[in-house]
Amino acid sequence: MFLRNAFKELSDEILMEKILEGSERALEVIYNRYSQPLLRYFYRMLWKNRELAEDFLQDIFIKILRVKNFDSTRMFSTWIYSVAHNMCKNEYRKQAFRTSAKLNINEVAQEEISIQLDHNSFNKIVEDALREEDEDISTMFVLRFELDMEVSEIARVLNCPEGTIKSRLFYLKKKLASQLCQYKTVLKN
Amino acid sequence: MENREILEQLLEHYSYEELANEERAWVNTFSSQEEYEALRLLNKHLNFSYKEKMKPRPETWQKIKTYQRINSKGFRVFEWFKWPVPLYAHATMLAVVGTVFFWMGSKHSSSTIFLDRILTKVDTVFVPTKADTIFKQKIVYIKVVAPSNPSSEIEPVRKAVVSKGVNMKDKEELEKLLVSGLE
Repeated sequence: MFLRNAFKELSDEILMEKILEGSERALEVIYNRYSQPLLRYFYRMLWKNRELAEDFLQDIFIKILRVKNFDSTRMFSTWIYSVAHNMCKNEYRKQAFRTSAKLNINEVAQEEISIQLDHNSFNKIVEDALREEDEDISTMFVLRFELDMEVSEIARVLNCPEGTIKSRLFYLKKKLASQLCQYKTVLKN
Repeated sequence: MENREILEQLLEHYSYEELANEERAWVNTFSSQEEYEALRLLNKHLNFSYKEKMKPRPETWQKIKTYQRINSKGFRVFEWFKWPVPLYAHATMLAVVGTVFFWMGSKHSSSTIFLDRILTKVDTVFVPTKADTIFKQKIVYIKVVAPSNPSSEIEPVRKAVVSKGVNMKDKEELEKLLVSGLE
């Protein structure tokens, strides 16, 4: 119990060093800190496929265990989300899913969106709109609004200027808003 | 401040109805009332109800843990050694270990055991006495070395006594000389 509490107080970077030395406790603490947000990230990015998201979560932690050297001057969170982002990019390329998915978006949206929208339908619109967007914009959006990540950290994850992220996110929100208007929906609170 | 940032601040704090006339005019240059309200609702939705509420399945953690165990055999032993221990703990541990080893070492350092037993053995020994003293019987205790093997014969430590090299004959001659003063 004492050791567990001691580990909980350590920073991600020190925990990562301990993981490299083979510490199970350190891995457990890192898992407890990051498993949930990473799962949500993968779930959002991988077409809301829960099974795939769980597999990716497992894969990313196995990647952590396979790391030989970790630069502790680098922020662990930035590093892990960069890895997650690259994993998703590879998956997009591998499955070539997006092209086929794009064709179905408008059909699905028009079928399912009724005059009155509940939160689920609202989410559906957002998800469909995200699928139409570039991978980087989707990632920005999920990191910002799903994981509540600061714009500065998103900039480090995606290796992109903060201003670009802010303007791209705003552009996307504006697009979503106009899409909502386009369907002449009455939105519920 | 950029227009985008001003618009985002307005969106965060005011509905379209709450905007001042000049603010409304400014907003209308970018978007319509409908779009403004949609943006506000979108912000609200994204901040409060967009997030998924899901937890990873327990099997996922079990698989990761198993992978770590398989790929780092014996790490549990070393984990304890790698845990940072304060200096005073090192010193205490060293003192305890040192004491235990010293005690054990002193207990088993020699295979020779000194026994305090009485052996009756007739022998000629030198006993320094006054010239006019006569002993009928004198018991002389000497230490003997008992070998670790109890079956072997016990040899008395005689060397020190014998090495003096004075026998009874010499003693008598010496006494005669001292008493008579003659050569």
